[in-house]
Amino acid sequence: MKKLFSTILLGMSGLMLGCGDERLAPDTNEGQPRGSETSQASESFQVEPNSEQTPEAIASYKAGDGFQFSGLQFRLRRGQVALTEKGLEGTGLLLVNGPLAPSIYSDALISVGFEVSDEDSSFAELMAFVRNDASQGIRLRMNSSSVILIGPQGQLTVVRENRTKRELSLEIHNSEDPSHIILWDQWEVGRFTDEIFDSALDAGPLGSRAFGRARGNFFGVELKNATLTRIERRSRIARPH
Amino acid sequence: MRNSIDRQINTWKQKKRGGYLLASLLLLLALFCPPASLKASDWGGLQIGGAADLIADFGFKDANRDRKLNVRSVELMLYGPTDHLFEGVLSFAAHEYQGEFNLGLHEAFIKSSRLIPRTRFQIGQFFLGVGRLNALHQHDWPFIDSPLTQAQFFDGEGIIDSGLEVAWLSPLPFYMDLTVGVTNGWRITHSHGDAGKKPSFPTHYAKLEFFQDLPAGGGLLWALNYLGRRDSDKTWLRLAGAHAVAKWREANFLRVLLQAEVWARFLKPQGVASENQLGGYLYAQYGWSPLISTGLRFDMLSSLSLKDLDQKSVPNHQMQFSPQINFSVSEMAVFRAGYSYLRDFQRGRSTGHEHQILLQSIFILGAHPAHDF
Repeated sequence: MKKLFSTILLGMSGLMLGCGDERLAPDTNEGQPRGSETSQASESFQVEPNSEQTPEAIASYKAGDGFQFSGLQFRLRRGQVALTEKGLEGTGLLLVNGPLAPSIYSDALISVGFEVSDEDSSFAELMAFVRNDASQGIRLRMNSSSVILIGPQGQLTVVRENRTKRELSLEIHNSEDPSHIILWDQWEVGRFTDEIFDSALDAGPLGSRAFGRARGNFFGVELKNATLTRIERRSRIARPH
Repeated sequence: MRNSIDRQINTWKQKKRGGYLLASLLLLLALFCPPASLKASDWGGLQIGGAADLIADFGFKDANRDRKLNVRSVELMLYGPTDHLFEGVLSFAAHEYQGEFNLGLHEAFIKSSRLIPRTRFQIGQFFLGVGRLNALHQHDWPFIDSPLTQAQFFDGEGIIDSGLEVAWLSPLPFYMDLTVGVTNGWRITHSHGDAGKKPSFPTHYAKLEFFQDLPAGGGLLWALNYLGRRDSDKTWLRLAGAHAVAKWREANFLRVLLQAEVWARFLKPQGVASENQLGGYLYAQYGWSPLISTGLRFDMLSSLSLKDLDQKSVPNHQMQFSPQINFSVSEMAVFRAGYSYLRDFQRGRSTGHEHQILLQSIFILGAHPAHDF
C-alpha cells in the first residue's frame, strides 16, 4: 500500500511539473505537437546546461542555441540569456526561426512584454521585418525613460516616461510604402483601441516617410540587461485597410 | 505620449482638404441642379448616385471583441455624356480612419466607345481593369470582406491609378475582349499623405476575356490577367491570374453564382531573394428565393519562397472559410451576416487562428452604372 501511494504521489508530482509553466511547453493551443518540436530541436541544436546557471534560472542559452519561448522557436544569435520565472533575461540578440509574414510586403501585429532595469544602458528592443542579419527592419526600443521607434531612414521618440515594465503592441503595414506603423501601450488591441502613435498622423514634419520601408521578413528581440516577459505574433492585424 | 500638436495639425489639414473637396462637390451639384423652371430638363443625361457600406465585425480574441457598427465607406458617383462622343465619370469616396472620414477622389475619367469601331478607351483615374474584384467597387462585391489574395495583392479594395485603358472587342464568332492599360505607377498600394515615387517602369496590365453560354440558361465569363510594374527601387512586381464567373438566373433573381480568382505574384527586389506567392478564392452562392441567398467562400494563400534563418524552405499557407447569408430586396439594398475563420500554417502546423462574425448593410441611392456580368 505504501509503495502504491508513493508511486501515485510521484506520478502526480511529475504531471504537475510537466504542466506547470506554459512557457516551457510548446503552445498546444496552436496545434504544435510536442514530440515533433522536441525532435526538431534535437536535430538542429543542442542545449546544454550552463555551469554558471543562477539558482532562479530554469534554463540558460548561449549564442547558437535554439529554444522555444511563448510558442515561438527562437535562435540566439549572440549573447547569453536565461529562462526564469519572469521570462527571458539577459543580454543577447534573438531571432524567431521562421518568417514573420507571407511576404516582406505584408502587414503584421506583434505584442510584446518587456522589463528593463533603471540603468541607462539597459534596453529591450522588438525588431520586425528585419533580414536574417537583423538589419533593415522596424525596431521598437524601450528603456527606463522612453520608447523609441527606429526605421531604416529615421527614428522618433514616441514616449517619454519613466517606467521599467511595459506591454506594447506594434502593428506594421509593410504593404504600404513607406511602412505605416501603429503602436499601442497594451497587450490586447483592436481596431478601436486608442493607439499612442500612428505614423500616418504623428510622424511630425517628415510625415509618414520618417521611417522608410522595412526590407526583411524576420522578427526578434534584442535585450541588454533586460527581460522579455512574453511575445505573440497575431494572425490578424487590428487595423486592416 | 502622442505628438498631439502635430496630430491636431495633420487632422486639421485633412479636414481642410476634405472640406475643399466637399465644397467643390456641392458647387458641382448646384451647377447641375436645375431651378424649378427647368424641371423638364434631363440634366444633359447626368446620373447621380450614392452608396454606403456599413460593417460590423465582432472578433473573439482580445480587444477585437469590442467592435461596433461602422460606416466602412461612402461613395458619390456622377456619370453621364459630355457630348455625342464622350462620357465622363466622377466618383468620390470617404473612408473612415480613426473615427474621421477622409474624403478623396476615387475615379475621374473620360471614356468613349464611339470613336474607334469595336474599341473603348478611358483616360483618367480609375480602378485598373484587371481581375474580377479589382475592377469593381467594394460595395458591388458579392461578399463582405476582402479575400486573402485581394488584401495581399490588391491593397484591399483594389488598385487605383491614373492612365489610359483601351479595350477591344474582337470580330471573332465568339466573345473575346482584350483590355490593355498603362498607368503612372507612382503608387501601387495606398499610403498616407504620400504621393509615391516615380517608378522605373510604369504599371501596365492586360486582360483577355471570354464568355460562353452554359446549359440551363447559365453563362460563364472567364479571363486571363497580367499586371507588371518596376518601382523606384527597381523591384519588379508581376501578377498573373485568372478569374471566372458563372451565373444561372431564374425569373428575376440569381439562382446560382460561382466566382473564383487565382493569382500568382512574383516580386524581384534588387539584391534580395525573389518572393513568389500563389493564392485565390472560390465563392459559391445559392439563391433560395429572390430575397434570401447563402454563400460560402474559401480562400487560400501560400508563399512559395519563404525561408527560415538557415535558408531552408518553410512550407506555409493561410486558409479562410467564410459562410454568409444575404437578404436583398433588390441590388440597391443588401443585408449580410457572415462568419470568417482564418488559420495560418507553417511546416504543417497551425501557427495561429482568428474568427469573427461579420454584419454588413449596403444601400445605393439614385442611379448606378449597369453591372457587368
